[in-house]
Amino acid sequence: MDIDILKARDNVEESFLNTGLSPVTKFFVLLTVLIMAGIWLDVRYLLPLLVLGLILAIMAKIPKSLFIVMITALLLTWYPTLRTTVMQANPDYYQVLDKAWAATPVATVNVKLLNLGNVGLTYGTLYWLTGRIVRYLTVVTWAVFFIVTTPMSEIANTMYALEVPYQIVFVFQMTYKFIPYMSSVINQISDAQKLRAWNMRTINPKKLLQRAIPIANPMIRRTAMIVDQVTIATQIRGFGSGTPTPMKAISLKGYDKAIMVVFGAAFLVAMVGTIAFKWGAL
Amino acid sequence: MKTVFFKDYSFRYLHQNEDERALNKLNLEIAEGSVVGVIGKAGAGKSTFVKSLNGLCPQVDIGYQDGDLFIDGANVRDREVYEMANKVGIVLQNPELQIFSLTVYDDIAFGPSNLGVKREEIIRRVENVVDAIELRPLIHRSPNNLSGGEQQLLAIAGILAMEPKILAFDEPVSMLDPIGKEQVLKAMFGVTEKNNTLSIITESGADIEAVAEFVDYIVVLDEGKIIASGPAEEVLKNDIVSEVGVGQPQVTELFNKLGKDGIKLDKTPITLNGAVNVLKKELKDKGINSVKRITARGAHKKREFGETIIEVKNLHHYYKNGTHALKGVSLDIPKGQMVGIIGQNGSGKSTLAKHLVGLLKPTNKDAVLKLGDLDCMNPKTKLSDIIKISNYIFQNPDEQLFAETVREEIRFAPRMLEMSKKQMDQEVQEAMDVFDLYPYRKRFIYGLDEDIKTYLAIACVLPMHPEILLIDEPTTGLDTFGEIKMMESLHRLNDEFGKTIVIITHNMKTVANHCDRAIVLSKGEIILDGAPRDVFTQNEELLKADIYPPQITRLGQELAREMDFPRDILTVDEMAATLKSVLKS
Repeated sequence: MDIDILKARDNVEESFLNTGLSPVTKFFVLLTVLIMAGIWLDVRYLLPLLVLGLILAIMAKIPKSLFIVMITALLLTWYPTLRTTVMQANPDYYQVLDKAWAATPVATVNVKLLNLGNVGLTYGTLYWLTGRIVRYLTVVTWAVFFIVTTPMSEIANTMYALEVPYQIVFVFQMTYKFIPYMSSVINQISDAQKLRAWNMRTINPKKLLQRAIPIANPMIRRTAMIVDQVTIATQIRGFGSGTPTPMKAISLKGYDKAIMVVFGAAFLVAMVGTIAFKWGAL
Repeated sequence: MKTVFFKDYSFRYLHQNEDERALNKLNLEIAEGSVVGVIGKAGAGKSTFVKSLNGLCPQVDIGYQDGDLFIDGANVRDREVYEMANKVGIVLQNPELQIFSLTVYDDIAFGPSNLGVKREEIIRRVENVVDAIELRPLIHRSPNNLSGGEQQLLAIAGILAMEPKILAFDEPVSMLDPIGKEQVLKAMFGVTEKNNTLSIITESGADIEAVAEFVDYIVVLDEGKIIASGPAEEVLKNDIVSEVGVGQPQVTELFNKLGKDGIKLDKTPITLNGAVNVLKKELKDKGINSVKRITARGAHKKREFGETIIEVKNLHHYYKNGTHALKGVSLDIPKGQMVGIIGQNGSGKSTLAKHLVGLLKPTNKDAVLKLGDLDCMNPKTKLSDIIKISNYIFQNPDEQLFAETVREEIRFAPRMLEMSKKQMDQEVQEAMDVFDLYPYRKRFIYGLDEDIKTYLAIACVLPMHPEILLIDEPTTGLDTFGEIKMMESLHRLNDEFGKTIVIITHNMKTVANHCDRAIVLSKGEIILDGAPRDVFTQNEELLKADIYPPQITRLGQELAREMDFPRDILTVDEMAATLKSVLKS
């Protein structure tokens, strides 16, 4: 999924959200949304964040295929999600929702083992499940919006300008740059071994371990070689001689500041409401 | 003014024995404004030479140094590598590992930015470099989306922006197609000329023609020692260059051959233009205006082949990112043919090869893909069936070798196929015999030379008895002796064992000298398909694939502009025989 997102960035159409807004503004907005989405459980609070994220994603012309990937990823987590959902049937878990309403059974069983009590689907668990799905979609939508609309080079430049230690920025850049490279190396090694009749089709743990060696061994050596060459290449380019000159200063336009003020104020209000009035809690 | 001064300089890596040296008592002075070629076979010490210039040896590649090396008057011993970064700029072989930033612009700025140069000055330098190297259309692109040649140009641009006094290039064009090589070399030497810097380029043989076009001084290294040095024209015509396994430019080899046959010409050139001028004058002086090709004995016989073993019709392949990598490719290859697939980086060569071994499937359902009797379009056909008919050896043997010893490595496939011990031993022995690997059977894999590793990689698939062998760049990294031995081994597999051999290569000399057929791919389509003699005369089409014919063929084609001269000469022997027939009389 990561790689699809990275490729999508190279092909994404330009819009104000891509090129107009400062990465600092986008990062600030993302941070406020992610904190709130991480705290809130109530779908009524989460839904506006999701809707706003979707509107921005559409405005930024983010490829629809990415949403299909997101939904597929969500569906793949059905088992742990369902397992957690059915364990939420106890009405005492709910502090804001009406406990009687939350306990209304849809399909429950009483499990005496370990005194688990009622397990299954109730109005409360379904409400919790809806909130969880919306939270997932909210976080992913905003994260994809940020990643696709913000060139990684802009993020790196902003980090330099914010005086984040250059070693950290470099690691960040290298990780991003070498994900596709390492992925192609691993594919190449795996292809080369498949052509020698290699496969992992065995249930014998000893054989399974043995069969990992033809992939692991060349990969470790190749990685060591890459690290060695990258070290040499960085030294050649003067890396480590001191703090690098940031190529761009942070420049916030009027609308950047306005957006940050609006989201900053909304964040403060939301935090006060969450702490004092249990906004977003169930 | 001497810019580089080696004084009794020796270097030994940590892993070397006490009596071994990667560089052994070098004494050499190089002045600014020169373009120096450091040539030698793989392992001669060329990379160590380059890495010593800024102290990477011994500070990063750790080892023991004796003697001194002065750069621009400063002893490298007393400087940190990063302190030398604005004096010596080094471009390595693999551009992908020298690019760190996320746009072309940022990567060019990376070096000066690290050195703490002021932002305005960095911008000035980047602007100058993008114009000098003609990278302006690419500056906002991600380096990951550039071609190999463009990436190497970017690596050079990144070094140039640091404004070093010395530029050192460690085999910078070995991974590029012929026109990519020329593009990169022209850019490199254009900048050297303009800025009066000193450029040093290493070369092990395959691209000696391209390098000879630009260098004015040559240093020949062998086992860490300088065994010859001097003006390029003097050194390259000396037989010592061939004796150390580098090989001479084809035109130089031709003139030496003619000289040995008693034909004395004005001088021995090292460049194509030089050779054209000398021969034009000679032929004109002798009143010769029509020359017929004399085919050297035994060369390029028309051979008979068996029934079709590879049948491909209308093959399309779309990658998930939408790239249309193969656009309706169709070809038939008969059993026993030796085929060279050529084309620029990204032309679809590897994608086609992966279809021919079942690693990829056509993305269109109406494609035909048959290997012998096996229909690869049949969903029931498994990879395990295909690899017993057709197999593929990747370019870098290190990406597949993993066992401790040569014997164990070859035993891997028979073990996976659950052969009996007796059969396994027999298969391993036979595979070792093909490449004379028996003496290495107990050797530790990682200590092997590159050529032995490549033989081993091929030997590893032989126990599966594939009738078709696809080999990616079999001669890359080999000196001329290694190349000859490799191609002899492949001919043996072809002639004695009846294997159909498909070579994917950037080396046009290999295709001209050894293949029955050349297939040229460009942008996912086959644009030329035929005998190398026919293909290498289609220059306009070849240009679409960023390909030049071999230098010796181009020599004939240049002469054909002025007179009746064969345009389809493929080898130095053929050209020598042809010229001898007219010049001796």
